Formats: sequence, structure tokens, C-alpha cells
Amino acid sequence: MMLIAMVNIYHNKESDLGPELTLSEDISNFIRDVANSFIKIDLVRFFHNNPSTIDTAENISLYIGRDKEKIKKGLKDLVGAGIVKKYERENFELYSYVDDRAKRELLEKFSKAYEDRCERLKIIAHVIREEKTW
Amino acid sequence: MNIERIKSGVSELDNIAGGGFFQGSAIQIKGAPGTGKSTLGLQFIYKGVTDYNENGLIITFEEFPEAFYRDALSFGWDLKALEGKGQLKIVFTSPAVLQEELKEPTSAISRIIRESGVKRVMVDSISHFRQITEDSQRLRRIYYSLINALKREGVTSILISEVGDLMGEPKISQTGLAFIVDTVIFLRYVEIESEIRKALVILKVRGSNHDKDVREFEVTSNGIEIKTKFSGREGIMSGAPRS
Repeated sequence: MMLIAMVNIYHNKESDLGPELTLSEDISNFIRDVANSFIKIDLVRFFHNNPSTIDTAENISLYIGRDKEKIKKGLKDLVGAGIVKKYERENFELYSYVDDRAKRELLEKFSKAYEDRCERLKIIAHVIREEKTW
Repeated sequence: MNIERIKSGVSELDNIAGGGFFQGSAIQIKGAPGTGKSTLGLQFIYKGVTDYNENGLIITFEEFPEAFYRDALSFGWDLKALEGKGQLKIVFTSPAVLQEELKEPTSAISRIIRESGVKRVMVDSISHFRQITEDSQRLRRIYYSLINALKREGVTSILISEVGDLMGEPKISQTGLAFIVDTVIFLRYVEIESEIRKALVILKVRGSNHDKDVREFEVTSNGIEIKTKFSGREGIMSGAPRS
């Protein structure tokens, strides 16, 4: 049922996800406001798992294995959302995870949900609805 | 000049190094893949926290922190628990970034060292600085600056250094890192009667006498354990000794 609902989302961009794809309010809001693309999901999970990372966008794209320009854009959005900090240096722009406890707890909740297969499918359905471009 | 010695967390290693490492010194651990370099470094950091109340910092350039958590757990060392208590940080970064960050007093890494009271650092591995340049003279200046920056912060640092050859006579690289550090520990594979074993030798401890024996060591479920010296054989460090 969940997979059928997801296929409908993908093909029809349905705005109403239906009960089988309902997420908790905070996770749903987090996806809407922060992790609204697959690149940004990769980034929030990366910083959650590697919280003391301090590095450039190019190196982070190597760690995650994604396109450098998409990672740069994703990082810019996460800086705007207050999840990632940006430091200007003479030769670099560096990124690291914010120290904010509440934000880190929310990311932990999101990452745990993403590790559960059923919840992950729901999250993907929400992201498909949110993502403007592939 | 600090002459205080600190314990490595590998008991026999302290004995053969003349009583432990000098506080604030730089120790190079070099060896081929799988010889136990990172394990030795992890043990130094972990035991430093749990046995000697010295907070630690692991700087990694290629291995994800998750790999360190997993590898350490196999020895019963819970790095995440230490991180949770603020006694350990694992920073995932790149060589050029580390180089710049240590120059800047208000940088994130400098603040981690100061505010967390870090006394022990492991850099894994310093060989990745070749990403910045292959020029041996420039690389030597980079290493010199890095080691001085770590000493400036008053930390005792383990610098993991990769050797490409699994066997064969050990060589000193043109970058001359061995000339700059205070202690050089060399790990080697040794083939004896169709069995691969591991050898450790301390090549240098600046300002101190040290054991010159080539010792066998094992990576056990408790970490690195150093055994007696290889006896009755020559050419151990070539990897293919003879009786």
C-alpha cells in the first residue's frame, strides 16, 4: 500500500500523501523546512554521523560521493536553515555542524527515522513531493 | 624544555622507549597497511583518557569517524562514550584545512584543543599531506610547521605515516619527517616459516636512550601487545629474515 502510494506521489505529485505516509509533525516540518531534497538528506545524515567535521564543500562532496555543485547549494541552504555553520578563511570556505543542542537532537531523531525502512519510505515520499527538481 | 614522560597506554612500549614518551613530543608511527598503526594510535588516545585523565583528539583525513568507533569497539574501547563526556573529539577534515586551522588562533580546531583541554592528538594519516604537494622540500616545511603548531598547543602527538611496501628494506623518505619528529616507531610484516608476523622497532627517541631490539607484537582483543625480541634470526626488518 505504501509503495503504491509512493508511486502515485512520484507520477502525480499528489499533495495529499494519505494516512499510510503520515510522519510525525516535527519530522514532517523538518523535511518541509530543511531536508527537502535528497542531497540535503545526505548532508544532514553526514553531519549527524560525523559531527566534528570541519571542511570545504568540495571535500564534503567527496566524503558523501555526490556532485560538488549540488553539495555547495545544499550546504548554502543548510547554513540558511541554521543546521550548518560557515567560516570564511583566506583560502577556503569551511563548513561544520552547529553546536545547537535542540537542532542536533532533531537531526538525531530524523536520522533514526531514516534508518527504519518504513519511516524511510515515508520520508522519501515527502521529499519527492517537496523537491522541485531531480 | 619538558622532560616529563607520559605513558603510551601500551605497557611494554613505555619500557622500550626509555620510560614513555616525552610530554609534548611528536611520535611518528610508520608501517604498511594493516600493521597496526592506527590501533596503536587509538590505544594511546583511549588509554590516555581512561587511565591517565588526558583528553584526546583524533584528526582523520580519510577514515570516517564511524570506522574509528567500530574498530575501537572491537577492543572494548567506547570512543562515543568518551565523546559524550567531552573527553575525546574526532575531527574529520582534510590536510590543507588542518594546516590553515592550526595557524588561526580562533579557528574551530584550535578552540577544540584549548576548550576541551586536549593533551593527546592522533593525526591519521600525515601521508595525506602529499595531496597538497609532492615537492619534498615544500612538504618538509609543511610537516615542520604542523608539528610546531601541535607542540605550541602543548599536546603529545602521534603521526600515522603510511609505507607502501609490504616487505623489503625500510627507507627514509625524502620529505625527512623522521628527522623532524622526536620519536620514530616502525611496524613491519615479517615472514617466518610461511607465517606472517609483525615486528616493531623504535628507531629514534630524541634525547633518550631506548631499546634497540626488534620486537614481535600482536594485535589482540585488548589492543597492541608487545612480546619478546625475535631471536636467532637476522634481517627481520627486511621482511624476509634468515637464520
